[in-house]
Amino acid sequence: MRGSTIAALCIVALFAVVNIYLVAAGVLPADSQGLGIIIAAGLTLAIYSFLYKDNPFYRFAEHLYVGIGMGYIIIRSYYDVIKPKVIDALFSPPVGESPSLLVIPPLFFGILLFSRFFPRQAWISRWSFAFFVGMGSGLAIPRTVKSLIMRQVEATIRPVQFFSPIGDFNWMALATIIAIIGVFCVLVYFFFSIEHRGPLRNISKVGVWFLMIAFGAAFGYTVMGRISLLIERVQFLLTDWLHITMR
Amino acid sequence: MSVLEKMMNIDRRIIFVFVAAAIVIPSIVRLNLPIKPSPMVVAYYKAIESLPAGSVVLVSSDYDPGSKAELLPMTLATFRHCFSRDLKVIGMGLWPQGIDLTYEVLRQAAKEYGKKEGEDFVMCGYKAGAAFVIVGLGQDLPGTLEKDVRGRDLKSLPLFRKHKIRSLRDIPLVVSMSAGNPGIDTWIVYGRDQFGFRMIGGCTGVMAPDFYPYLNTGQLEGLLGAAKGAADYETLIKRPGLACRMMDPQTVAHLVIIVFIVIGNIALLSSIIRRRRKA
Amino acid sequence: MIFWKRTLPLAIAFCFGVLMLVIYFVPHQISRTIEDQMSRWGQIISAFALVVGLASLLNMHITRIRRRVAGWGYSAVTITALVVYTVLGFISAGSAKSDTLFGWGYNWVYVPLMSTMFSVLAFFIASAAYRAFRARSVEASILLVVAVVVMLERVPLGAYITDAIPQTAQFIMQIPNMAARRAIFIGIALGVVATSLRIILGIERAYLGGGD
Repeated sequence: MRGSTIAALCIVALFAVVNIYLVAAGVLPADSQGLGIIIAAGLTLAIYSFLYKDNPFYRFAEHLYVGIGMGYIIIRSYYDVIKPKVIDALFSPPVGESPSLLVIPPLFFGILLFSRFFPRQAWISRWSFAFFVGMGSGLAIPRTVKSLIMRQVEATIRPVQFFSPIGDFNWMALATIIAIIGVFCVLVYFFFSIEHRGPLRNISKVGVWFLMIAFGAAFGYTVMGRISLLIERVQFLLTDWLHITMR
Repeated sequence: MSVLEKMMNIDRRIIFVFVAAAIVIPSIVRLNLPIKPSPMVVAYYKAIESLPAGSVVLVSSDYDPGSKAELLPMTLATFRHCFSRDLKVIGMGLWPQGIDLTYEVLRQAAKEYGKKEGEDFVMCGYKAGAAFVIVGLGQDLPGTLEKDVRGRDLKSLPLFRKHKIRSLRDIPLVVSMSAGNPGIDTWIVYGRDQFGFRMIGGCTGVMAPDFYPYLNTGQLEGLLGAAKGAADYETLIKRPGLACRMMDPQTVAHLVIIVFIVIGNIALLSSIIRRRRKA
Repeated sequence: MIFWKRTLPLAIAFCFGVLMLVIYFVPHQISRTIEDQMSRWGQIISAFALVVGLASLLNMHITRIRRRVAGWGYSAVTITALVVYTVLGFISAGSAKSDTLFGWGYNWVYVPLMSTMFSVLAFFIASAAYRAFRARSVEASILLVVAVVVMLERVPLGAYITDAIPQTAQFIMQIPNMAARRAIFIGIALGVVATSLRIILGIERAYLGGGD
C-alpha cells in the first residue's frame, strides 16, 4: 500500500475516532443535527485537504457541491418562479380570476431555449435570446445613462466651495479638487484611441497612480473578505464540532 | 543565496500553516479589542433609525452561502434593528442560493422580538431576472412577488392589506445584501433612480470599494462593508454577535499577512543590494 | 431559411429593444403596464435560461461518463447528488426547513461546502501577497502602502493604535479610490450603452451564437 493511501486511511480513522468520542461523551447530539455537524466537518476538512495536495476526498467534495448546488437551483427556480408565474397562473389562478394567457409567449420562448441541445435545431433558440437580450438592452440604456453617467458626472462637476459663509477655509474643497483631478486623469488613461504622448502621457500616469490607490484599497478589502470566510469555517470546526472555543 | 532570499521561495504550505495558526489561536484566546464604527456604517444605522415605526423595509438577499460569513451577520443584525424599531420587513432575493439562509435568520430575529409572519414580516423567496424583477417591483410589487415562501397570496396577508403596498414607490427603504451581480448596483440603476426609494446595502469585502461613488452621490446612503462593517453595526445596535467574534482572528491574520509582505520586500531589497554590490 | 435564422431574431431584438427604450420616456399608464408585463416575461425566461444552463452542465457530466474520460466517477457523484437532491426537493415541495431532508442537505452539506470552497482562497491570497507583492516600482509601492493602511483600518487594531489610520483609510476610500472607481463606472457605462445600441441595431450579433 502506498504511503499516501496509508496516511489517508489514518486520517479517516482519526476523524472517525474523534466523532465517536464526541457523540459518546454527549458533546455532539446523537440525532440528525449531530450527524449533520459531523458530515459538515468532514466535508470542510475534505476541501481543506486540497491545501496539502489534490486528492480524491477533495474531488469528491467538489463534485458533490456542484451536484447539490445544481439541484438546489432547480428547486428554487421551479417553486419560486416557474410554478407561481407559469403553472399556477395557467392552471390554478386565484379564485375569481381567469387563467393568464399572457404567460404563454414567455413560456414559448423559454421552451425554445431547450432547442440548444439539438444541434440541427439549435438556431431556434436564437429567437429567445434575441427577445431577452433585446429587452435587456432597451432596459439598460436609459437607466445606465441616468445612474452611471449623468449622476456621476453631475457629482464630479459641482461648484467647489473654498470658503464657508463665515469665511473659514473649507479643507474638503481640496479633497473635491483631488477627486475631480482623479476622475479626469483616469478617464484620460482609459482613452486608448489616441497615443499617450507628451502632456497626455503625464496625465495618464497620474491616472495610473489613482488606479493603484484603488487597487491597493481593493486588495486590503479583499484580504478582509477572504479571511472572514476562513474564520467562519474555523469557528464552525472549533465551536460547533469540537466545542473547544471560549465564547 | 542569503536566508532572506531563500525565504522568498519558501513552500507555500508553510505560509498556509501560519495563516491557519493566525486564525485558530485568536479564536480560542480572545483579544477583545474595542470596535469603532466607521462613518458609512453609522449612516446605514441612521437610515434605519430615521424611519417611523410601522414603516416597511424591503430586504433583498443577493448572495450565496459562499459569502455567508460576511453577509449573514449583517443580515441578522439588520433584521434585529428593524424589529427593535417596529419596522415591517419584506424579504426576497435576486440570487436563489441565499434565500433559505436569510429566511432562517429572519425567523430567528422575529422570534426574539415576538414578530408574526404575515403581519410583521414576510419572505417572498427568489425571483429570477434581476433587472426585470426590479422594474416589475417598481410597477406592481405584489404582482411581481405574488406569493410568500409558504405559498400564500401576498394580497391576502395583513402586512400588504394594512400598508397598501402597490410598488417600490410605497417602500421608503430598500436594503440589498450583495455578493456580486445582481446586487446593490442593479438596485440603484434599475430601481432607486427610477422609483425614488432610499437605498442602503451590505456587501462583501471584494465589492465594498466599488460602491464609494454611489455613497458620494447619495444614491447609496450607507454601506456595511465586509465583516468589519457587520461588526461595527452589531456594536451600534448593541447586539455583538458572530461578526464581533471574528474581529480578533481577523486582526491577527491581517498582521501576519502584513509581516509576510514586509519580509518579502526586505528580501527583495536585500537581493537588489547584493546584485548592485556584485556589479 | 436565412429569414428564420438571422433576420427574424434581429428583428425581435430591434422591436423589443426599441419598445423598452421608448416606454421609459412615456409617462403614461399604458407604458407602465407594458413595462410590468415585459418584466414578467423576462423573469420567466430567466428561470428557463437558468435551467438550460444547468442542463448544459449536466450534459457535460453525462458525456464524461459515457466516454469514460479520466475522473468520470466524480461526474457520477455529481449526477447522483443532483438527482437525489432534486427528488428530495420535490418531496419537500421546495421547503428547506430543518425538519426536511432537503433542508438538512442544504444546512449540513451545501452551505458548508460552498462556504469552505470560497474560504480556501484566504490561504492563496496570503501566499500570493508574500510572493508577488513587491515594491518594484513607484506604482507598486503606492499599491502596497495603500493596501497595508486599508488592511490595518479594516480591523479594530488600526483605530486602537491611532485614529490617524482609520482617518487616512477613510480619506483614501472616499477621495482617490472613489475618483478612480467613478471613472471606471463612466467608462463601463459608455461601453454598456454602446454595446446595447449595437445589439438593438443588429450590429452586434455574438448573442446569436455563430453559424449563419
